[in-house]
This record gives sequence, C-alpha cells and structure tokens, in this order.
Amino acid sequence: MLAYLLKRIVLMVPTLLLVALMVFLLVHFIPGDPAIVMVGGDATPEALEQVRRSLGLDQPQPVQFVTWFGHVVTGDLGRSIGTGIPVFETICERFPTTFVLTTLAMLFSVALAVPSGVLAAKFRNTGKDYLFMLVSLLGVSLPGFWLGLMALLVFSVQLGWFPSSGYVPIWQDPIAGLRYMTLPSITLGFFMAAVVARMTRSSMLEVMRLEYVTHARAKGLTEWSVLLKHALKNAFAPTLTTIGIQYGMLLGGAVVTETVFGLPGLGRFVVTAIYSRDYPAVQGCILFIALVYMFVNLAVDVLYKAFDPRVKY
Amino acid sequence: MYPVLKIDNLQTHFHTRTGVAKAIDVVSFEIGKGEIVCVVGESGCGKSMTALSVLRLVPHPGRIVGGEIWLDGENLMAFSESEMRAVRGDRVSMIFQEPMVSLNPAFTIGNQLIEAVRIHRRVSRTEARERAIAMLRRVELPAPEARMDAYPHELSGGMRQRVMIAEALLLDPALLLADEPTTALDVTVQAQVLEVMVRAARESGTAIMMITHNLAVVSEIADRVVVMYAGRVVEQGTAEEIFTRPAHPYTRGLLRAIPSLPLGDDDGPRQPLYEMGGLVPSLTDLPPGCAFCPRCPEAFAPCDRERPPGFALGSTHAAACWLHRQEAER
Ligand SMILES: Nc1ncnc2c1ncn2[C@@H]1O[C@H](COP(=O)(O)OP(=O)(O)O)[C@@H](O)[C@H]1O
Ligand SMILES: [Mg+2]
Repeated sequence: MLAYLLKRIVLMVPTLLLVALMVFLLVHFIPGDPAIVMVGGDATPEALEQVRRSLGLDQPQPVQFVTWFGHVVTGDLGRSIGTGIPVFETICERFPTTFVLTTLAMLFSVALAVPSGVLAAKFRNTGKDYLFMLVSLLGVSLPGFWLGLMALLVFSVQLGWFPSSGYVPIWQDPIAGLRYMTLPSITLGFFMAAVVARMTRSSMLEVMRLEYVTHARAKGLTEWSVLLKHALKNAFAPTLTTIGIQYGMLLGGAVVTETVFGLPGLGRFVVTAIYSRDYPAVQGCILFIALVYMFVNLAVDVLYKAFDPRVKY
Repeated sequence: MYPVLKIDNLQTHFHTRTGVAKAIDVVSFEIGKGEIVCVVGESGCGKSMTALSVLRLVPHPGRIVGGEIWLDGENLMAFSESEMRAVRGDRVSMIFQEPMVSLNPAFTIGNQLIEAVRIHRRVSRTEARERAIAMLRRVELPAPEARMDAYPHELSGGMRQRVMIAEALLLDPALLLADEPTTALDVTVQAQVLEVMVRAARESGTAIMMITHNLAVVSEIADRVVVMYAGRVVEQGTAEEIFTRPAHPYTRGLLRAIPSLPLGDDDGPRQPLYEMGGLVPSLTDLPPGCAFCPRCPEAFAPCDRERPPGFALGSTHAAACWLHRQEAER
C-alpha cells in the first residue's frame, strides 16, 4: 500500500513535466501580448520593448520555458504580471474558498444523488423513476449561472434567508461563512448530483441483474438490505469514479458559480489571468490545479479498493 | 406425513413485448423428506425458473400465474412477503450455478456466512462465526478460519462452491435447491464438490432438488428423476426406472446423448454419440400438441394435435407421451 502510494507519487513527476510543457505552449500560443495589456495599447514601441525585457519575454521561448520551469522546480511560481503578487501566495489565498465550495457541493450532491439513484433503480420504469430521470435531466442541462441566479433571487433577495453579496471565509467565522457558502454549494451540488444520481442508478441496475443479488434475496434478506448492502456497495465503485472526476474538475475552479455568487475563488482568478495574458499566473495556477487533480485521482483509486476488493495495486 | 415439497400445477410466465413466454407451462412433482430429486432437461426448459418459483423469486418480468407450492404441508403461494423471507435461507436454501458471480465480491466469506446465520437466528456474531467455521469444516474447505477473512475472488471456483454449500446448509434447511452447482467447475473438482454437498445434506436430513444436465451425475446421486421439456414434466420416476426403462422418447434421446452411460445390456458395441436433432420450440408459441413432437422419432397420429397428459406406468413412474396410453389404461 505504502509502496503503491510512493510509486503513484513518483509517477506524478513526469506527468507534471508534461502538463507544464503543455500549459506553457498553450499559453504562449494564445494570440495577445501581456506587455500590451500592462502598459496599454497606445504605448510607444520602446516602452513595450522595455516591459517585455523586464518580463523576460524577449528571450527565445525554449529559454523562457527552461527559466520558468527551473523556478517552478524550486517552488517558485513567479509573480503575477497583473497583481505583482507571487502566484503561490494568490493560490494559497484563493484555493481554500474553491476547496470549501467544491467539497461542500460534493458532500451535498452525494447525500442527494446516491439515495435518489438507489430509489430510481428500485422503482425502475415506474412513474417515480421517470420523475427522477426528468429532474436529473434538468439538473444536467440547466445552465449553472441560471440556476445560481434563480437561487439568489428566491432565497436571498426574496426570502432573505441568505446574504446576497459579500463574503466571509468559513475558517474565520464558521457560522457566517457557512451562510455565504450554502447557496453556491447547493447550486453547484445540484449540478453534480444530477450526474452522480444517473451514474448510481445505472450501475445499480447493472448490479441488480447479477446472481449475487438474487442470492442475497434467497438468503431471506429484506429488499432494502439487498439493495443497500449487497447491491449498493458494488454499484458505488463506478459511482465513486464519477464523483472523483467531477470533484477534481470543479476543484480547478467552479468559475460560473464563483462568478455568480461573487466568491473569491481560484476559478475566477484563472479566468481573469487568461484574459490579461498573465503568463506566470495562468501557468502556475494550472500546474497547481493539475497537481490537485492528480491527488484526487489517487485518493479515488485508493478508496476504490474499499468498494471493490478485487482491485490490485 | 407431508412431502417436503409439493409443486402442484405450477405455471410461471414471462410477459415480454414479443408475447407470453411460458417458462413453466405446467409443472407438478414432489420431493420427499431427505430425498434427492434430479431435474434434468436441455437448457431453457424451465429448470431454474422452477427453483426460483419455489422461493417466489422469479425475476421480472416473470410471474407465477397459477398453481400451488406446498412446503411441509403449507402453501407458499398464500404466504406474505415477510413470511416468505422467513422461509428463504432457513427452510429452503439455494445454490447457484456460477460461484464466480453468486457470492458477493465486495464482502468477505465470513461476512456473508455470518449474515446468513443472523438473518434467521438471534445469535451473537461470535456464535454465528463459530457456526460458520464449523460448517466450512464440514464441507472440507481447507483452513476455514483463515478463509473467513478472504474475499470470494481469492478462492478457486471449487472452494467458492464449497462456501456456497456451507452457507446453504448452515441452518439445516428442509430443502436445498441446487441449480447446476458443479457445471461451472473444473471436471476434476466436480465430483468432490458434489460428494461433499450430498454428504452434508444427508447429515442434516436436507432434501435436494438438484438441477443438472449431466446424466452421469444423476446416475450417481438421484433417488428420483424429473425430466423436463419446454416448461413441462415429460417423465418422472425413480433413478432406476428412468435409467433402465425410460418411457419418453425425449428421455431416451437424453440417455443416448451421453457417451459413458451403458444403456440396458452394456456388452453391446458402443453407439456413436447420439445427438437429438431439432431445437426446443419457442416458449411464446408452443404447439398445440406435444411440445416434443416436431423432434420426436416416434411421433404418431395424436401427437401434433393433442397434448399428452401424464400416464402412470407404475406407482412412481409416469410419462407424458401418447405411446403409453394403452399401457396406462391396462
Ligand atoms: N428475463 C427473462 N425474460 C424473458 N424470458 C425469460 C427470462 N428468463 C427466463 N426466461 C424464459 O424462461 C425459460 C426457462 O428459463 P430457465 O428456467 O432459466 O431454463 P433452464 O432450464 O436452462 O434453467 C427460458 O427459455 C426463457 O424463455
Ligand atoms: Mg438454468
């Protein structure tokens, strides 16, 4: 187990190198020039040239990459061109918000989706199942910003249950922080829940055809024990993968939700950085997000074995 | 005294888009206390559905549409779902064909065996565990204590089926439904597993309804044999009657299709392996006469028009074939 973890972590190094290269290439292929963004479109060529030199943009691209990556290896992601603050500091400041938002959303979605998926499978092809399928289809297809705006309008503006603007980090004041996080995480969670519930339903149906489920019934178990113990544990393994993929993706920044609810998360920062061609910020953040994603993946793979003991490390 | 199991005009149909498949057109037979009855027939003739009907676990879209199932004189068809649960696993247990997929891969052997005890008996986990280990020892699973913590995939097919047998006999049921329990196993371990099952069942006085299409197995263990074809019983009798005086052309065809079994006087030259021509008829569209008629080498006038009832050929022997009408009337 420990050996497996070590192996996986060592394997992350070449992956990260590859990600770094890709990010660098992608960022540098986007048309646009950070120097122009910095000094404005009507600056003199001399001024532009000077800014370029100060940012190291006058160097050949391979040199730029090696310089940047050399710093990354020593833990220095550089400074944002836009804010002048070290990228790493910004990540440390903004990622926790995204992490809390996404984690709450994930917990909410699992709590909602797994029971509904199981119920839908139990009542397959009946009215209840169709109703569930319809709701989850809506959840998948409704745009996130619309759902977020509706939630704001109804629960914050009309009913006044939740604040409609402002933000307090949850680690500073848990109660107030939670109130700011409730609507965003439910909105985001609802979207995740739709996908997870569909996955739960289909893998439950898959498992319920198998002989060990009939065997469980033949033992004299109640239908609920059959479903919740024997079928669900097996059906949860593929569902776990889906949850992991979604969680990892959204950890990279739930941009829409962060924007609608005005949360100072990482997602919004990355988007702004991309627009302003803030090379160090984009590269640093994406590299960090890739690393987080890899750790989420690793966690899923480790957890998977708890649900499917046949998996070998 | 009641028989352990009495199946009386059981009908189990599958309502599908293409029509009603009569998986069990109509089936009646009995199993006495401690008796081993083998149910044989080609695949698709309704053997598994007969066993599942006894537990009232016919899968959707199948349904028992008629008949009665009596267990020790009690009509299971009149039982509520919770009364049925008390029967399943305690008074009637079942072993499935594929030990690879009939044990739950996500739980240890111990977990599954202890659960089987504790569904029906109010005993502590430790007590259930000891009971399970003792049972694993009875089915000759090597190192039973250590196996309790193993997952099914860590055992061989033969070992898994021993676990299934142990689980099925844990609570000394009156009846064991064994659905081709050795078909999926290596030929080398089939005989051992079968022997263990029969011995353990005899020790606990459990009757066995053994589904198989291996007639060599039948000749080894059966007290009585029920031959099924297209959802009906076409012949039944003691093992001796079936093997020495098979009365239905279908039974005779089955017997001729096995190479190792001597038929009648075994000094004669070995016949080439016989294969019955033709296919099992569609269960959604059974012919009006005898379902075997299209394949029957001995079919005559009434066969394709009228369905033969079971004709008694002795106190224990009966065949549903027009060939035996006169014999039965005599
Ligand atoms: N899920 C199903 N849907 C429709 N028909 C089925 C289904 N399962 C079984 N049947 C019907 O029941 C018949 C008997 O099946 P079964 O009892 O499993 O046969 P076997 O004698 O091989 O055990 C099959 O030939 C098929 O027509
Ligand atoms: Mg079968």
